[in-house]
Amino acid sequence: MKAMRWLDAVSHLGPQVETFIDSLLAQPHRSVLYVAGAGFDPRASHLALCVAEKGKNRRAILIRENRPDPAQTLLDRAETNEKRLCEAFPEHEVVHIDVFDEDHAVVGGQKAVAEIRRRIQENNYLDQVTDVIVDMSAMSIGISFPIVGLLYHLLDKPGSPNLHVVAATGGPEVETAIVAEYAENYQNPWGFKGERSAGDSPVRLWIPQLANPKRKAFAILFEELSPTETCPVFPFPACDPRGVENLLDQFREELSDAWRVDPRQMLYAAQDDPMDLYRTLSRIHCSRAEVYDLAKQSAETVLSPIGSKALAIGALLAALEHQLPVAYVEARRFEAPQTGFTETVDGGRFVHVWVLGEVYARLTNERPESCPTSTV
Amino acid sequence: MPNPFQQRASEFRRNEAEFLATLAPSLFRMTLDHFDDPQELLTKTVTFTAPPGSGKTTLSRFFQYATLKRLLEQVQRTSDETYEELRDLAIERGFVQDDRLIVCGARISFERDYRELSLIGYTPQRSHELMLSLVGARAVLAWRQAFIDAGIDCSQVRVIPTPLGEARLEHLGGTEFSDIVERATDVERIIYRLTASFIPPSEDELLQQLGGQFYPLLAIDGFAIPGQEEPVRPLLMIDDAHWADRDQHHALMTHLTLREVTIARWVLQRMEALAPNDMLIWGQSGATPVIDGIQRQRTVVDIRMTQASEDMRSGVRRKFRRAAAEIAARYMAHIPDLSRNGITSLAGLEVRPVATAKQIELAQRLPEVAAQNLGIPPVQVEQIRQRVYDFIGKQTDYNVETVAPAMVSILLHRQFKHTPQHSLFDAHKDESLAEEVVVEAGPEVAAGAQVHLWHKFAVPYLGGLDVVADLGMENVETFLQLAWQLVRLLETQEVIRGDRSTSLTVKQQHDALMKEGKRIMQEWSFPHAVSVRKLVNGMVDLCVKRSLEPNAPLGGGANAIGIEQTKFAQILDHPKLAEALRFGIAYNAFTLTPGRKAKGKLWTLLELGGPVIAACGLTTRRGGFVTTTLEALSDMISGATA
Amino acid sequence: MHEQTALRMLNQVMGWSLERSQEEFQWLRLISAVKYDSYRDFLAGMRFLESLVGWLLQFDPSDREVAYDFVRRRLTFISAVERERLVDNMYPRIVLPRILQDVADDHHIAPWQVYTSDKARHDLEVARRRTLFLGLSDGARLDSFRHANVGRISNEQVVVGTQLDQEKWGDLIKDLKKDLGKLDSTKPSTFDTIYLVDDFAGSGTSFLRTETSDQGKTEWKGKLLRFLRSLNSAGPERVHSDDWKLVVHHLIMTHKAVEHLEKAIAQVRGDLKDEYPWFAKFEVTCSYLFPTEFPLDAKTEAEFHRLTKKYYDPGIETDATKKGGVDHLGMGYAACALPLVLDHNTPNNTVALLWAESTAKKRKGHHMRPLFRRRQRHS
Repeated sequence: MKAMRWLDAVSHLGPQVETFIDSLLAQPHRSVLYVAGAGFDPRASHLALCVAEKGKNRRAILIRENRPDPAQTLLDRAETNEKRLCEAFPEHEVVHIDVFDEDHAVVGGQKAVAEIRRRIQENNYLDQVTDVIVDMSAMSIGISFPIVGLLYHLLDKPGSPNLHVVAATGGPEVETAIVAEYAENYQNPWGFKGERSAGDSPVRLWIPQLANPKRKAFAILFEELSPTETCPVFPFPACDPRGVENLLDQFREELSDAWRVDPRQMLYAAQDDPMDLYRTLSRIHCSRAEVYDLAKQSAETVLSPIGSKALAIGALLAALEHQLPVAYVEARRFEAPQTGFTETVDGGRFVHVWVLGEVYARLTNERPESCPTSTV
Repeated sequence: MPNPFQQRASEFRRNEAEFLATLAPSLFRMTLDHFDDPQELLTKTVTFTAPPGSGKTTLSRFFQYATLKRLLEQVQRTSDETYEELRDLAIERGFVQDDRLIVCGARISFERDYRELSLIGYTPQRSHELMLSLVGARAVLAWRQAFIDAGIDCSQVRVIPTPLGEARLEHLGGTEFSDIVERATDVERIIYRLTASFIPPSEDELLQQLGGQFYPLLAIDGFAIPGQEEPVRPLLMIDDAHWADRDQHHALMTHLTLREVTIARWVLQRMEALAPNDMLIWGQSGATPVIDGIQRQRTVVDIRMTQASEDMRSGVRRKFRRAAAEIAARYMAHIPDLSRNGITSLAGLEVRPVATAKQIELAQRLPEVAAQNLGIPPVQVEQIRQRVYDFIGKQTDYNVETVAPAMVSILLHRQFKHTPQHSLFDAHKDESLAEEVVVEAGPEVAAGAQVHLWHKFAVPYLGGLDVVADLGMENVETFLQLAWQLVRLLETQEVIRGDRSTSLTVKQQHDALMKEGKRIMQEWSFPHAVSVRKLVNGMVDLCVKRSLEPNAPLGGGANAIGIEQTKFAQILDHPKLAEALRFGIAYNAFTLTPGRKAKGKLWTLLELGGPVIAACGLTTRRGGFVTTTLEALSDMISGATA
Repeated sequence: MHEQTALRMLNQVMGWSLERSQEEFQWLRLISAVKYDSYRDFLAGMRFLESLVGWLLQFDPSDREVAYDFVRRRLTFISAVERERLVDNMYPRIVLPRILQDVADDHHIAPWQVYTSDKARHDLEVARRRTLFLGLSDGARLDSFRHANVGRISNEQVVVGTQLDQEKWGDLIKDLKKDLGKLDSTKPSTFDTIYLVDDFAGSGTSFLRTETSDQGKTEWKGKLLRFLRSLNSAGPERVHSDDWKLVVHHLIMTHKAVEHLEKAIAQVRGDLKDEYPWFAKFEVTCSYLFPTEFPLDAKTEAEFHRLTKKYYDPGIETDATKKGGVDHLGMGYAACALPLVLDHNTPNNTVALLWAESTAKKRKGHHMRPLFRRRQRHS
C-alpha cells in the first residue's frame, strides 16, 4: 500500500478551528487571501468573521453564484451576507459568477477558474500573501471544487503561499435550502473529470455520499453513470445515532433494487471529519488501481460528494491526489426550507484542513509516491 | 440480471444478450415503418427527435454492430420468435443481407466534453474545429470498439476512402485502420484533457500538439473486414445531440451534410435541440420545417419519434398497447421471484372494479336526486334508464351497480339541457309537454360516469393492463414506471399469499397508480419544473371542473387544454410560458398535439401526461379538452389567477 | 426459515394491508441484510425475521404495532463495521491530538507548529512511543487498532487484557527501552500515558463503582482497580513515569457514564490515596457519545414504556443487576433506558424487552421472549 499524501495532515475540527486560526494569525507576518462564497447560506460568514478579527493583513475574493430566477428571500439573505463580508474585509472584490448560461448549460465552474486564474496570473493577487484560505461554507461544489483545484495546481511548488480549506459544515438540517430545480444531467466540476476519458464501458465504481433531500440528484447520477458497482457512504459516527437507519429508510428503493448494493459494499465515514473519508477513499482507490492495472482493464472510481460539506472536503482531497472524477447534479433553483433557515451556526461543526505549505515542507523530499492513476 | 423495470433498457451497456432479451420490435416499427426505402435512412443525414424515455437510445443501441451480430447468433441458436422478428426488421432496414451484417453501426454520445470546448476561450472557429475533431476521433474509436465487441481483429481491417477522400485519408493515417485508430487515440486524449484543464495551452501550442484537423468522416467510405467480401458500410450514431449549443449544433449538422460524407449518419436528440418555434409551432405532419437554414429535404430526414398525426393516433395507441404487453411480459420473465411462480404477465390484472355497499347505496341515489332537481318526467327517466341498461348489459368491464345509475344521472342532465326551459311545475304536471328523449347511452358516457364516481365516492376505475399502457402515452419509460408499481404489489402479494395469483383489484391498482403519479409529479425537478407544476395544476383544475359537470359534456371528460392554433403561433410572445412548455413537453408532463379539428376550428392541444391523469383522476380516453388562451396559461405560471 | 415464510408469518402476526406489507418487507429485508442478521447470537435458519415474529407473538395483538414501531423507529444497532470505524478513528481523533497538545505545551507553541520544528517532531515520536494501550475486553478491538496503525504504533504498545504479570510488564519495558534507544531519546523507559480501552459504557459502573456489602461496608470495585493492582505489582522497576496520565477511553458511551466516571475516578483517587500508584492526571474520552435524548423517555414515549411494565418477568433480575440501583429491569440496568443493541451482544442497560429471556425455573411473571438475546458475560 502506497502512502497517502494527507495521511497525517494538519487538520482541526470543531472549536479547535477557531483556536487554530487564532494561533496562525497571531504571527504578525501572516497575510491572508480569503476566498469565500457570499450566498444565502447561513454559514456564509462565520469563519470569515473569525479570520477578519484576527488577521491584520487580509483581502478577500467573494463569490456570488447567480442562478436563474432566484427567490427574493434568498437574494435578500445573500445581499446581507455579502455586506457583512465586505465590511469584515475592507480590501475585497465581489465576483459574480453565472452558474448557467442561457442555454441551460452549466458554466459556473469554468468561469470561476478563469476569474481566479486571471487575478492571480495577471493581477498579482498573491503578492505578499502567506496563506490562501478557501472557505467552502457557502459555495456550491461546482464552484468550490474547481477553485481549490486551480489553487492546488498553482501553489504546489516550494515558496508558494500556504493553502487551507475551511468550512462551517452544520448538518443536513442546515445543509440545503431545498433544490426546486436541478440541471438535467450530471456534471463534473471543472477539472474533475478523471485522467482519461473513460470510454464506453469501463468498470466503474460509484461512491455516492448519501443525503436525504437529494434523492432526485442521485437518480440522475445513477442513470447516467450506470456504474458497475455502487458503494454508498453513510455518515458514522454522526450526530444522530440512527443516522444510518434514516438514510437506509429514505433510500430503501435505491438500495434494495435499483443500485443493487451489497451490504458489504457500504462505506462509513465520520460525519464531521474530512480526513476519515479521505483515508478510506484513498485506500479503496489504490487497491483497485493496482489490481486493474495488472489486469489491463480500464477502471474508474467516481465520487459524488453531495452530502455533508466535511465529507465533501474529504472527497475533494482524494480526487485531487488520485485524479478521480467527481460527479454531481447542479442546482438550478433553490427555495428556502419550509421551516425557515436555522440561524445558529454550530461551532462544534467547523473543519479545517491545511492542504499545502510549510507544515509539509519537511515532507516534500520524502513525499510518498501516489498510487497508479492511469490504467490501460 | 438487474431488475429491468428499474434500469433503463437503453443503459445495458455490458451485455447484448440481456439487452436483446428485453426488446419489443413493435416499438421500432412505430418509428421506422413509414420509411419504405431503407437506403434513404442510410444515405441521408437522419435526425431522430424525441422526448426522454421514448426509445431513442434503445434504438441506437439496437443498431450497433455488436448487438446485431449477437442477434444473428441468437437467431441461429434459439427459436425465439421475437429474435426472428428483430432480425427481419434489421433486414428490412438494410443492415443485414444474406445473413451477413453489412452496416457497422457505432454510437457516440454528445453529452459530455463537447460543450466545454466552447468555454475554454479559444475562437469560435477553433472551438468548432476541436469539436468536430473530437467527434471524428471518437467515431473512429467507437468503430474500433464495435469491431472488438464483435470479435473482429482490427489489425486486419482496411479503410476504403471516399471518392474525394484519398488524400485526406493519407493525412489521417492511411488505409490501415489501426493506424488511424492510433492517431484518433492521440487526438482524443489531447482534446479531452483540454476540457478539464485548469491552465489550458495557448492555441499555438495546441495546434502543434494536434497536428491539424482530424476529420475522418470526410474520408471514410467503408471498411473491408476479414472474412467478408463486400465492405461494411459505416453508420455513425451521434446520440444526445441536444447538449450541443446552437452554434455547435449548426456546425455539426453542416459537417455531416457535406457532400464528401458518404457514411450513414444518424443524429439522435431530445426535443430541446429544436428551436422553440420549431418544436412548438409544428404544422401538420409531413411538413418539414427549415432548421438552422440548412436545406433539409434533400439531404436530411427529420423524424419525430412520438408526434404521430391525428389520423394515426388510434392506430398508434393500439400498437403501443401491444408493445407494452410484450415488454412487461419479457421483463417479468426476468424477475426470479415472479417467474418462478408463474407470474409472467400483467394480463391478469382486474378490469372490473368492485364497489363497497356504501358506495353502491350512494350511487343509486343519484338518478332520483337528478330527476327531482331537474323536474324530468318519470316517463323520460324510465326511458333513459332503459337505454343505459341496454348498453351496459352488453359490457363486462364496468361495475354496473354504480356506473349505471351515474350514467342515468348524467343523461338526465343532458336531457335537461336539450329541453326548452319550462318551469319546473309545468313539466311535472303535464306529461304531454315532455320532449322526446334525445340522449343515448354509450362508452363515453360510461367513462364520464366513472370519473364522477371517483371524485364523488372514491369508486376506483383505473385498472387493467390496457389502462396502464394508455397511461404510458406511448412512452416506454412512463409505462414501465407505472407498471413497476403493480409488479411490486404482485411480488408482495405472492409472498403473503403464496397462491400464484396474477391479479390485483382495481382499487389496489388505482391507488398504486395514483400514488406513483403523485410521486412523479412531486419529484419533477428539471429546469422550469416549478413553472411546469403550476401550469399542470392550473390545467388539472380546468379539466376536473369540466369533467365533473353534471352532464359530462365531453363524455369521459377533459384531460387536455386547447388553444386556437392561430393564436398559439404567438407563443414566443410569452417567453416564460414557452420555456415551461418546452421542458414540460421534454419531460412528458404533457404532450403537444397540433392540428386538432373541433367546433369548426383548428386547435393546438396540450394533453396531460399519464402520471398526471392517474394522480388527479381524469379520463384516459383521448380527445376531451378545455379551451383557454395563452394569457390564461401565462397567468397560471405567474400566479396571477387566484 | 425461508425469508418468504418469515415475512408471510409476520404479515399474519401484524395484520398488515398489502401496501403496508410492501413497505415494511422492503425495509426489513434491507435492515436485516445490512445490520440485524449479523447479530452474533443468530444462526443460519434463525435470524432476525424469525426472531421478530417470535418476539411480536408475545404481545397482545393490540400492542403489537407499538412494539413493532419501537423496533422500526427507535432501535439503534451498532454493527461490527461501525465499531471498526470507531477503532480506525481512535488514533487520529483521540490519541494524536493529545500527544500534539502535550508536546506543543512543552515547547510553548501551537500544536500545528510541532510539524515545523525538528525537535518537536522528535518529541512527538518519543511521546507516542511512551504511550501504552490496554484493552479491557475483546470488544475494544485493539487488534484492529494495532492493524490500522502499523508503522505508527508498535505491537509492543498494545495489549489486550489489563492484568499483566510481571514477565509481561518486563517485556514491554524492555522493548520500550530498545525503541527509545533507536530514537536516540534520553527519556526514561517508562510509560507516560496509559490508555484503558473498552467498547461500551452505559452507566460506567463496570469500570468503577462502589458496592455496599451486607455488613454495611462500602468498597470500590471495577476494572480500574484490577488494573491498578496489576500496575502495582508490575515489577522491581517502575513501569510508569512519575506524573503519568490515565486516559479512560470507550468506543461508545452515554452521558450518564461520562459523568459517573469523571466523578468516581476523582473520588476513588482521594479515597484510596495511598493504596495504588495513582496517575497525576486523567481524562475520560470516547469515540462516540450518545446524545442526551438517546435513552427512552417514560413520558414522551409512554406507549412503549407501558409495554415495558406490562410484559415483564421479575425472574430476570439477579443480584448483579440490582447493583445498578434499580431493581425493575424494564427500563434496563440502572434504568439507563437505552434502545441499544451491539452486534456482539445487547448490553443490559438496554430496555429488557429487547434482550431478556424468561427461564422456566425462575419465571415469576410474563414469559419474556427476546428479540436480540443477551448472552451473559462474566464480568
